[in-house]
Amino acid sequence: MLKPPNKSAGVPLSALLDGDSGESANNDNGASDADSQSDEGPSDMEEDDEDVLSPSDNEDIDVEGDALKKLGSFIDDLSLRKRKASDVTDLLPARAIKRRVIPERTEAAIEGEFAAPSGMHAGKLTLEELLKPSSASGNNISSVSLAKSAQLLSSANNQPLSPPLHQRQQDRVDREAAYEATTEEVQKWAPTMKRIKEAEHLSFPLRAPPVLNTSASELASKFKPSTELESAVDKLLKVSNLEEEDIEQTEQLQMSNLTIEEVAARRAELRQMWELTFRAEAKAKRISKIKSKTFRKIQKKGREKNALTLDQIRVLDPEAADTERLKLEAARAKERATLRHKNTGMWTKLMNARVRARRGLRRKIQGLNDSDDAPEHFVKSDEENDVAGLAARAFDELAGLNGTGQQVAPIRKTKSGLLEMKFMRDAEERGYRVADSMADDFRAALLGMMGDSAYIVGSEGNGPSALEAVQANQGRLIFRPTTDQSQNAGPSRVTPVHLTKSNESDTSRVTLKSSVESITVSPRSDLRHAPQPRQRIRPIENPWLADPTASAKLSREKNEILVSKKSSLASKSKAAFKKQLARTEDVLTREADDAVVEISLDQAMPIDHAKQNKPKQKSKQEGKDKTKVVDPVVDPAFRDSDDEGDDAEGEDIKAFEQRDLVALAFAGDNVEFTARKEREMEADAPTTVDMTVPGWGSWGGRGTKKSQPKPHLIPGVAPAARADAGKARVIISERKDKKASHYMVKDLPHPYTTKAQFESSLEMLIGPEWNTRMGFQRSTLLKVVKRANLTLETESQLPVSRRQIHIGLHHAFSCLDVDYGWLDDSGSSRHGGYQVKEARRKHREKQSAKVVKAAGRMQRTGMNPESLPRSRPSQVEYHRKLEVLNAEIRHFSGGLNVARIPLEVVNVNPDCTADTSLVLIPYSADSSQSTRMYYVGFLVQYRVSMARRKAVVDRHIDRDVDMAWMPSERADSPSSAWLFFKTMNVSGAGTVPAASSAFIGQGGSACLFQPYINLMTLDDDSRLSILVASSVMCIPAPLAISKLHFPEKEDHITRGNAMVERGVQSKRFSSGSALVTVYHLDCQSLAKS
Amino acid sequence: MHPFAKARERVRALNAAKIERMFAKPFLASLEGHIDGVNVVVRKAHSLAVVASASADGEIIIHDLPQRKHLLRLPTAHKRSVTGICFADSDRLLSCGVDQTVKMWDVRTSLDEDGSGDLGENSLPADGSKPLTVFHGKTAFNAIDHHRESSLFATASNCVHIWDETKSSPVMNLNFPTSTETITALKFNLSETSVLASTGSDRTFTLYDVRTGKAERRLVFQMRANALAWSPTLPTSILLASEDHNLYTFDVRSLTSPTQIYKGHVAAVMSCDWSPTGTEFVSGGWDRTLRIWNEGDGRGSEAYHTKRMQRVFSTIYTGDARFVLSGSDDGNLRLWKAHASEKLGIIGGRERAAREYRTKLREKWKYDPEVGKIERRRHMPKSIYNTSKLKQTMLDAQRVKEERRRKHSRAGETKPKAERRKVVVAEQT
Repeated sequence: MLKPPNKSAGVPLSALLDGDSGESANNDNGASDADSQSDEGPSDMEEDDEDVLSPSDNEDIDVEGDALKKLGSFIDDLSLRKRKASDVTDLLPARAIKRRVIPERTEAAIEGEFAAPSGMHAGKLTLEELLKPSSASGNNISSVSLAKSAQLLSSANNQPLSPPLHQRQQDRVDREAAYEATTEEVQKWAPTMKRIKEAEHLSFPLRAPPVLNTSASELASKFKPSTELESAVDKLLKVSNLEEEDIEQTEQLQMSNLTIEEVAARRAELRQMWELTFRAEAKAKRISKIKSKTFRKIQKKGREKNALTLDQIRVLDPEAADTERLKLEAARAKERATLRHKNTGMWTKLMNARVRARRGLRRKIQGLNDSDDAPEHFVKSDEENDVAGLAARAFDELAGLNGTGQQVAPIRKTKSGLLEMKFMRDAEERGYRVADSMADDFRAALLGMMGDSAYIVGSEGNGPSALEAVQANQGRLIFRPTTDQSQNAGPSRVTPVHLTKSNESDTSRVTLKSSVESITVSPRSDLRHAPQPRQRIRPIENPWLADPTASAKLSREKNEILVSKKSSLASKSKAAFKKQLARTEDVLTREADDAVVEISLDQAMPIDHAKQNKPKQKSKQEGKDKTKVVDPVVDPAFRDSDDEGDDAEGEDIKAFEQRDLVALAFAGDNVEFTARKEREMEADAPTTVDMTVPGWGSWGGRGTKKSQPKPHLIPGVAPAARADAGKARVIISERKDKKASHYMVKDLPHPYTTKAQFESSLEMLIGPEWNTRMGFQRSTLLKVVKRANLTLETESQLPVSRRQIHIGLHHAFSCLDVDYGWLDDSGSSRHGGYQVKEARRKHREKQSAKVVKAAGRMQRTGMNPESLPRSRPSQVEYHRKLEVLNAEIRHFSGGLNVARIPLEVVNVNPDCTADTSLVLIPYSADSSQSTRMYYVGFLVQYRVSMARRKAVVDRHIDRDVDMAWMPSERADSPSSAWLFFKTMNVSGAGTVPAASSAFIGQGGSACLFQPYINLMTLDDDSRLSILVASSVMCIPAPLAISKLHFPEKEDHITRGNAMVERGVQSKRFSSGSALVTVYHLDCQSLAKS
Repeated sequence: MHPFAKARERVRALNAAKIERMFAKPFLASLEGHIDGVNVVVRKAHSLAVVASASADGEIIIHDLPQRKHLLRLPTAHKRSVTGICFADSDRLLSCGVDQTVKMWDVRTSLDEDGSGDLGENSLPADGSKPLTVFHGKTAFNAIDHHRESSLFATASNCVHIWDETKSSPVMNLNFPTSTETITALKFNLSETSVLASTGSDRTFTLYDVRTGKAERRLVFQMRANALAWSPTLPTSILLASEDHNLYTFDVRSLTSPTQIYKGHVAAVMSCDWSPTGTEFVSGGWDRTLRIWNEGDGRGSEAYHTKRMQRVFSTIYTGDARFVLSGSDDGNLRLWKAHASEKLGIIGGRERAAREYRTKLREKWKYDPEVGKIERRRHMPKSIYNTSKLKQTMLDAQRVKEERRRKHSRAGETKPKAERRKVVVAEQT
């Protein structure tokens, strides 16, 4: 039995194909239909199979019945087999041969492309069979794709295809896909949106207006003279054979006059000039970088040497000489005013020296007596610097004297006669003695002069060990063991010696006798203190200000406390008793002591001395070697009174009472503090105020309730809640600083994440006082900046890039050299701007009157007076021309990227023509090849009168003329000079006055022009007319006119490279030279662009 | 720096805030003409001066703003209410109404080339009263919007119909399957011009794409949205004015929750429109105020109101983002400044610098208690003030109730839901 090849795959092909064709209106019913169809499919097929095979079943029955017939027909059968081998299909079983039923033929032709198989031969129609003819017929795309899809159907796994989705589900899937597609589409805007969201400033319109890159040739080809002016210029061009068509011919004609050699020579000359310029420039560049001051000095000197003298200038130019003279005078006056050269004259120097010498002499004469009234620095230098040296010298001298004295003695002895006599000798001796004493005095005085370092000077008898350094540091303690040596040495007398002057009495002299004795000279006692009498008691008003020497002396003694370590208990108790006694004594005598104001150091000294000895004696009694230092560290000034008890024993006079002093110094501090803190706490604490008024709220009677009086509570800070609650030594104020509270916020505001961030945001001030002008403008720039009078149709023109916008705007304004401050100026008609303008206009008129004369002169010299504008056109004519120009400007504004600004010219009032300088420039793209002339209306100086603007605005509320909010940032921004280079291909020399004339006064351009005179070509020379004209007219129009007459024929040295020195001294030119700074423009790149 | 520099700047900021308030006079003009509530106002593209308004009595007026004149009046443009108008181009105006028609008008004759025509009220153009074309629908139309580039326009009725100007019947029907609602408002996206969004009476918001011809996604809100507007600078952002007193911005790339909720109105918000800068937008509400919002700032809105202004049905910005127009139920079209204290007319360089400085100062010192107080405080009409107080009370009560419920339910059973999550009830795909 044959089985259908894919019984399980119940979907009939037809159904599938139908499904493909896209009948999609079916819902559940459709799906169930498909199911039922798939159920029915197989049963139909089986039936078909049975029909096909039924003849063979019948044959089986016949075989059993009739065997003879079998045999008889066998032979026939054999023959038949041979005959119909080709016809009979292999599918038929051998047994079926007996009763063969020839299938009924229904088709005219056998199965093929145009006939389906049927009957016994048909079998199952397979997909391959269906596809075969189409694939055979041609390998077109449809057949290939059909084969592909068929392959899917007849896949190996023979899985049934899933039924199509429910319509609604399908729709949902489609919608989701569509949504995703849309999301993806809008996602393309993500970078732009991010940029917009993050932008600090948005300037609208976001997308810069499309830049029209109209080339010069494009413009020239389109151009047709439409106005009178244009046609005039056109005519001029035609006359001079400079039209597009004629230019080549003209050039050829001109070139034909030159020989090859001439051309070569000119070229060589030009090249040489280029080379020279280049070198000069390089040199200047190198020199400008040298920083050496010496070099500059030399250079300056050289310059001065080479500079013309006044007389020379006078010969050349008397006017310049006058100004120069004035300048020099002014400089001289200034010099004199500054007193810089006050003491530089020879005579003054001499006199000064003399005065100085005299002063010195006088001081010498007055000597030491009036050292006080001598200038302080003299004394100081004597004291500090030369003391050691002087002293050394003086000692040497003294020694020398002594030496001579000793040497003199034998000579003395050899004397004879009267001098040998005793009285004479005695007198001589006496004289020597006096001299010796004087020398001693002097020595002592010298020692006193030695300042900080003290010397212990032995007498002459001590020999070489006369000078012995001793520590005289005040706070320093000296620890000394109780040695026998010190005992043997006996009491050392330490006496401060006040040296008297030699001219005082002999009694003041101190003779130092014993060898052990030493003199301690109080370190500060110098010559100035010396005259004081020896016994004089110095009053000390303030113990703190007492002479430190004295205290040092005292302290040294006090600090020497020698207690033997092994001293017996008895002795210790004795000492303690003594201490106590002293204390009581101390208490008793305190008042008396305090009353003592004058402290006699001389009186204190012996007591000290005695005191010093006492412990030593004690220790000697004990016979102990070792000593213990008690309380060695504490400075005597801060010593306790207990310790002082020792010292106070037997002491009549005390220097000062330390404790009392300290107490006095910090009087009442401790007491005050706690009280103050308490006061503070009390003041800050919450209080209740009794607000009850007698009689109020005290109605009586039945049923009345007496309400409790409500305490009126004033809030505050409870003592326990204070910040300084547990802290005894501090008071922390709980009061709030109202002014500081202005700068406090409760919580951190939203965009800030840290406190520091917020604080720093407030820290930066934005005012103009604390920032630069640019910084201020930048920081106050609003987030959204929009050009007024403009519909912001952002809908269809989202930005390409923000930077591009900025660049566009920047270009638009920088082309015009518009500056923020400049704008300010223009709007100041209220603040006297009008007067200034009026003055300017008058001045210009005056100048134009001069021009007429100049024109006359030029006519004589052969220059074309046409190159000069004669007079101002009448208002009507002017206005008409202005309109024409505006049309031109409007046309050009796109190409030049000047945005909309020139459009405003339309609104310019006739009365503000003085402020609106229009430049008429012939436009030539590249002069060497073709001189396409064209007019470019260019606005160099643009100002709109306030009145007019207002009038416009009154009519249209939105017609706010918003010029330039963005200042030109770059110093070297392409400006008017650039435009000249670009449009006219003129030389730098020619451009400079023209470009700058907008900014500097008339005549100023001549000075700018001057450095280039020797660099000029022939064409440039012809442009001297420009020089004159532009300096008069203050507009570069003459340049244009002259250009028409003398077109560029050769390269200039200064083409694309004009430099204006900044170093022009005159104030008058400074603005111009600052504005027209340096234009380094590569002419090649310009030509290309 | 000066020791008092900071203090000085603070005082300046304080003064700046005061000056700003002192000069805050936003109302400019009232444009009369309608005798019924102004349902819709539209501006003409690329023109600052021309706006068209339509009222509930079927009249359409084209105004010249600077001159405050009518350029064109169509007294019976539609029978009964005009529900939507839009400029097709510079010379055509489309209007739709509840009379089941869409009409195209030629307004060219009334406008000069630069859009500043000067025609008196009486001198109407001859064919101004007759529409160029009339498109007939089967149901009343609620809104209309024109495609930016092509000649397609969309109308809102029981479904969104896309029409071609040259064809009399709609070229496409856009419908979210199973929806039986009425579309109340619709707008084409301004940058992705084929994307269309609509709001429906079934509290829905639907997103369509004309290219795929499908409704792509639908949101169901708590309360219905009355108006919508696409952001001009952020193509994915859409603003919805909701009946629940709030405005919402959505990002169409993820519609699960709004990007920002703008709270301030005390009644249903009826209309909204973005400033052309995309940084601000204006909304008009049933509470008879007009509010100006900064994009991304959900609270600080500037509210404009006048004594006679009734419910605001329509609001638009002018093309230069300096002015705002509102059409209200009282039949007036009012012109306001977008920034209340802005000075009209010429501002010199110094003044401009000073103004910019003051603006920056206010911005910097707004956290200062005194400055902030001046900045925030606004005088509101009594009714609005009381209503807002009442609303606050109700909201507080609601919040308290919710909190208590949460407290008394099992721990973790109910979590507090973010406000933004509450807005969208369902997002249908």
